[in-house]
Amino acid sequence: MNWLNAVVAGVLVGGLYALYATGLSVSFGVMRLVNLAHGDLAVMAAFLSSTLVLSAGGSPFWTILVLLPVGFLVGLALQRVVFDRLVGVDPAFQIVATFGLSIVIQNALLRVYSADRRALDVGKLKVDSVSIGDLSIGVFPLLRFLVAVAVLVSLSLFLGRTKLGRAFRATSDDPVAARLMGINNRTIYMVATGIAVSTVFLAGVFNGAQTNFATSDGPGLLIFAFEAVIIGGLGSLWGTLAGGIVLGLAQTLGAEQFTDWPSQLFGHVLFLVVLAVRPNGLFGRVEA
Amino acid sequence: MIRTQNHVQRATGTSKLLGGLAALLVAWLAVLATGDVASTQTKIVEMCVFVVLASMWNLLAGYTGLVSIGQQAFVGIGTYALVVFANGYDQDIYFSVLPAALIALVAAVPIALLAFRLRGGYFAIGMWVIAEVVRLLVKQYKADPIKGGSGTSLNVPVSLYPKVDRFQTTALIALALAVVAVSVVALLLRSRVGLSLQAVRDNEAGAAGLGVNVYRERFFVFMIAALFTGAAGAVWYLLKIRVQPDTAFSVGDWTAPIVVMVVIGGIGTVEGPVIGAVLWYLVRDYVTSSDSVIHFSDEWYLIYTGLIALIVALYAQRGLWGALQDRFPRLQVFPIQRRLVVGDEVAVRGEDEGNG
Repeated sequence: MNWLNAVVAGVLVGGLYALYATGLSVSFGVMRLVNLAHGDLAVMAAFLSSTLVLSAGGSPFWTILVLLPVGFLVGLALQRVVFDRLVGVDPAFQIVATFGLSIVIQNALLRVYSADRRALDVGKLKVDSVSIGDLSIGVFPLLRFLVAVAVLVSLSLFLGRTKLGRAFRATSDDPVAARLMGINNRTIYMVATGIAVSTVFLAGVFNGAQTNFATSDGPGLLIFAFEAVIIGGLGSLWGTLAGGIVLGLAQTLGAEQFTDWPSQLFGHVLFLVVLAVRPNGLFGRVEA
Repeated sequence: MIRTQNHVQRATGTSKLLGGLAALLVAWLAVLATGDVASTQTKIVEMCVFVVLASMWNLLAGYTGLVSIGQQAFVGIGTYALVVFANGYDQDIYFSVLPAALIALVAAVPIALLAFRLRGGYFAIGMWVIAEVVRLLVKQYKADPIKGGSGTSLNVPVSLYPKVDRFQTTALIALALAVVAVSVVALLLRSRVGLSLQAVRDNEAGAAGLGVNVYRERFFVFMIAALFTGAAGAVWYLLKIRVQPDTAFSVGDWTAPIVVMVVIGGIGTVEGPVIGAVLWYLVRDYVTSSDSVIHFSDEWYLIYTGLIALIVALYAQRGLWGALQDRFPRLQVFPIQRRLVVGDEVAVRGEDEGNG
């Protein structure tokens, strides 16, 4: 791989990180809630997709059509049963509760699916690439990137242009005033978590089609999502996309230069540098 | 005529009685530690290490609002510092615990400077990332005495450290560390720092307005926690010998159980984490040993652990000790509370009125 290819690969994988980070960003933006089980939900989606493919056949892509609404419903349920009790309480309990949830999901998956790694088979699409001179772009990573951008564009339009989106922003800015204006916060929170879980389900399926996955991968994915959010800066969806891309670039370029070092280390180091130099992130407007 | 003789009451009859019982318990454990039953000594070490870790995590999470998912960083740093001093520089293994703890303290300075830029849940994950960075760096260091990801063993030649002797000494060190750690927490909370911390916890802006330097108090407590967490990691490996980065820096082996212990026992109390750690340890020891009547596989045991953390955090946030204190308001082992006793007349009534 030459440098140009590494740059393209980094940008494209950054789209996936942004897709992971979207849900984290929405939950925090609307409820000031950090869900430590976020990554485990993505892994769960990948396993569900593989189960669907094994039982009904076909390509993993059709399972997305099932998993998006399922993810939304899982989000609604999660909000009603768990997160509603965590909004506005001491962050310690948010962390303990979602950390507990993460342990439960991981080990339930381990119980059902064992510790073996699995992969979602998208056939030729996975290896296909288009070449422009020396540059070769994987079709699947490109598709994944475009899907991520499409999700971010629709979410941005939803927040900016619709009545419900306005209610979202109002609740985020001042939940009490929003309630006085007749906005039902609990509905907003449910929709927010629904969106968060369905986007992370989508990311989980795309990740599972790219690399193989195991039940213990969740925390690692959570960390990538978190780094994308912080590098990009809180409170901005486009910042999150930029953060994901910068994170992806750090990983691929770092691994290109230092081949015997783990790629995620370079993402972590970049994250720490951003924290030291620009604690509000590269494009952030809200203090972390 | 009513004479008003106000005074601040700290130790109560209950706290003196329970404190005495706790001292007896420690004495009994010390006798067991000097015995020759290796399995008992192992239990004492494991339990005491978790008492230290839980007390320190609670000091951070329950009193300063610093909820860290990355305390395994300090366990690992303490452990590897022990390996470097003992294996690399041929120092006495027991003595090496001291510099190991100090190294954890020193490492905590840059870590705090970075992590303190994040708040709440993001601080929690930020600490986790930092622990990951340390783990990955240790794995990359393939030379002696660290030996990278495959790990190494603490040098304990039987000629220098006979096994019986090592188990006894380690058990005594672990017990002493637990006593010192819990006492430090109690004394710290009794002090001016403790008052400031509790003021910050209850109302950060208000406390800052009254002149509490929130950042400095948090920093100070973070350092204390790193020191003891590092020492606890080092003591654990005096017994376990075999050291690997993936276990020494594991979130699942260290921070996950610590969090569960603290919330079960009662976050934000001195006694809660101690009780939580002991209880959790005894239950785990029972349900994971294959000859018990109620036996869980690892997965089921972890599923229950996670569920308990979830349920306690949602529905019983005060934990066991907190619930007991709600029922019996005067209950305390460590006299860290201040009650204003107003005059003789009221002092009598105050007996059944709870905390002032």
